[in-house]
Amino acid sequence: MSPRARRFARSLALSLGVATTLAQAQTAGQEDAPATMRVRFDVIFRGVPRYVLSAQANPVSADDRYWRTIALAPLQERVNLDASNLLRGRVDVHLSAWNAIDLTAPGAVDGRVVGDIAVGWARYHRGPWSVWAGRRFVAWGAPGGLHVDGVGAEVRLAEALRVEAIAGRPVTPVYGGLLGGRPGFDGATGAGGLRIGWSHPGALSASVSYLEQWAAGIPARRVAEASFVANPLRWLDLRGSVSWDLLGLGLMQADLDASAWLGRTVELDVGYGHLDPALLIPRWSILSVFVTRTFDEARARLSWRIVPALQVGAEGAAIHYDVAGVEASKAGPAWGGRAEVFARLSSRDRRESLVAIASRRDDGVQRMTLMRLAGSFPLVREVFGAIEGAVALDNDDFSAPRTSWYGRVSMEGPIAVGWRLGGSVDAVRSPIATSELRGMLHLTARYDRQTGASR
Amino acid sequence: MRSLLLAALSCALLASCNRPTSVARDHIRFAHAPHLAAGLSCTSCHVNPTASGDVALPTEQRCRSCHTRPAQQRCGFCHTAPAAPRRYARVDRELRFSHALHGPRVDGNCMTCHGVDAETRTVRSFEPRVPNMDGCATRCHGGDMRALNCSRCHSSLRRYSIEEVSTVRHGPGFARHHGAEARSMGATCTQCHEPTFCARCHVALPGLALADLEPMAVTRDFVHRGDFFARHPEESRFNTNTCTRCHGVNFCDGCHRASGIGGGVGPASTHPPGWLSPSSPNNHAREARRNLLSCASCHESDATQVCTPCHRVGGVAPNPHPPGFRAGIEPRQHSVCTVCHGVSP
Repeated sequence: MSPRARRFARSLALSLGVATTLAQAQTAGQEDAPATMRVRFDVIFRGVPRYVLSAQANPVSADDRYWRTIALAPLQERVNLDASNLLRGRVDVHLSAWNAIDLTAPGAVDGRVVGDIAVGWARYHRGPWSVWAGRRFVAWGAPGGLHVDGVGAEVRLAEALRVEAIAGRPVTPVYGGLLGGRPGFDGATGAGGLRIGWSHPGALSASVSYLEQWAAGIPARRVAEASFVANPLRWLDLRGSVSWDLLGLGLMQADLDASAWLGRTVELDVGYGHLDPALLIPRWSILSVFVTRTFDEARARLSWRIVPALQVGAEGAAIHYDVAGVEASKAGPAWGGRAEVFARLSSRDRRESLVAIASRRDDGVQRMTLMRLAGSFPLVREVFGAIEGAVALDNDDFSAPRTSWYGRVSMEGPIAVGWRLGGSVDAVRSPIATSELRGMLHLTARYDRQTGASR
Repeated sequence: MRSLLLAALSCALLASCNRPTSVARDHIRFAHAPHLAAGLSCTSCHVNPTASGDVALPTEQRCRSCHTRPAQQRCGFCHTAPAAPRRYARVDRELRFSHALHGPRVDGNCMTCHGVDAETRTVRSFEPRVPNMDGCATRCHGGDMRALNCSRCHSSLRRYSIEEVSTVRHGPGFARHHGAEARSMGATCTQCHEPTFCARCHVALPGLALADLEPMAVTRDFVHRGDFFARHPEESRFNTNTCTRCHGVNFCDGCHRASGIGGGVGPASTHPPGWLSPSSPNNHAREARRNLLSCASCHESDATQVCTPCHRVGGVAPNPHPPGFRAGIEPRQHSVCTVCHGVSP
């Protein structure tokens, strides 16, 4: 190490030491928060057909292909556990795991038992420092977040200033079967990142981060990201985020939104978004070198709470597609858009609610109109019912082959303290199946416990 | 009987004297009213705000500057347990509050917040109170209360067993833009949402949409609402940007292959006729330019067999690099480059 680097490292260590000592003083006495444990356990038993596209021995055209129906009846379980402030308030444990069992499923198509740990990690925090290890979803760094097996550390240098670092191996589940996925690690084989965040909610929160992923011996992704949420006025919220690809030196995605509240009953949102999907393809894929189009979207949304129980609104967006260096005739339509109107009805105690939505999308080539009506309401005491209906019109044509219909009736009620049992029946007309009936039973258990004295 | 009572009383007295010293916790004998009656103002003792904007408690030296008589110099004059005086460290109430900022807003009148009701306020009986949240909300922060901007004042809500509140507005469309909040102020989200909450959507459970896990929550803005599976070809076409933010290019491939949708170009392919013909309106080039991710969803893993035979250097298909393309890696030394460009001599 050069003398200059050594001096820099010494200064950095000294600064961190002083800063953490100050932060330690600020956070003294914060570790006596009550221990809490929350557990949720779901069991779902479904009867649902799945479809496999089969071909005849020597098909001569696409018409010779046909959909083969496979009836599945998986028993799916999921457990979520969040335990916080254990061991004198210094340890948190979080776990979410699932599995699916279907002994009737054809084993040749996929496994009959699948399962995985979605997230499972533990965090130890003491004073301004905290470290964690395990499988976790990290919200920053990569577009859409990063699901990673790894370790991380965070230090609070001041009340609102945090520095965070992670390292690990990204998890990329493989959806190789009809019953469910399985854990996989193909693709990126290593990732590490650093984040500096200033968080003062209600005023200004901002974050900058850098994330690097490696695979197949090459850097697959280097992303610099900045995001912020600001509340400069009581009635105005601003938020935005920018992800910059440092490998291709391009703007991966950017979003900027402003929300204004007018008289507490009217909200106006305007925003702009940009996305270059090609930059989302990791560099180990040869497809990352191909030209593709970018999206630029301008959007606005207005919602009005006419009375406390009723809210109506509308949203519109114009999307510009651009393929760099390709003439318009080859790139296809340059403009698309979407529009939506909605109404929400909710009783004061929120036991009854109703929503009606109509939305339309148009990418210049194809159009789709989606209409949806849904509501939930108490039937008897704590027994609730829900109905839901939707129709997606392909090119505004009720009889078009890709037009789909959907309806669901559900009911749920308590069977013991903390346990709820429910059932649903779905009727579907999809592009594949002219009619289809599905059934589902679900059992949910919740357990919340808090110990210790709250200050 | 009387002697029994006397004995019991004596025992109780002795017992109370022998209890651990923690019971005899030190306090400061102090009353605000006599000090105010003596003509002192609040800032006579609570001197200038600290650097953080807080008002410091008066130091011992500050008290001794007035209480100069010998009897007043004894520790027991103020401390109830002078043998074990307590440290009066600043209590972190996990609040974002600055006296320095609030002082000018109330024209320096501390009683605006620390006073008692007008009917009972007298100098003799006055003891300033610590304002509670109702007082803050009634006077100035009603808007924050209504907007549930808890973090305007609270740096943390974890000491409170609060559910169903938020420090950011969860209005219509929040699901679309919540990423900025999660990245910038994730610690605030976890005040109410457990960390596994994110995983419910972002770490998808295969074959089990959130709408199935919450079948009664039919009015919530879930992304994969209703029979999304039937609509997903169209949804992905219109909202490729939305899909790819959460789902990598590998996401679609496995399921498509298992369903027989993926695979190469051939008679059994799902691609329309003329897919490889440059003169056909169904030629794959246009679709690839419009939505390369739809290609990547199936061909990401075998693109070197499907794409590069034609698109390689010297191939029949054009150069696939966009204008200004930069690989970002050392060219001609990595397999992804050498597929088309060969090995550097």
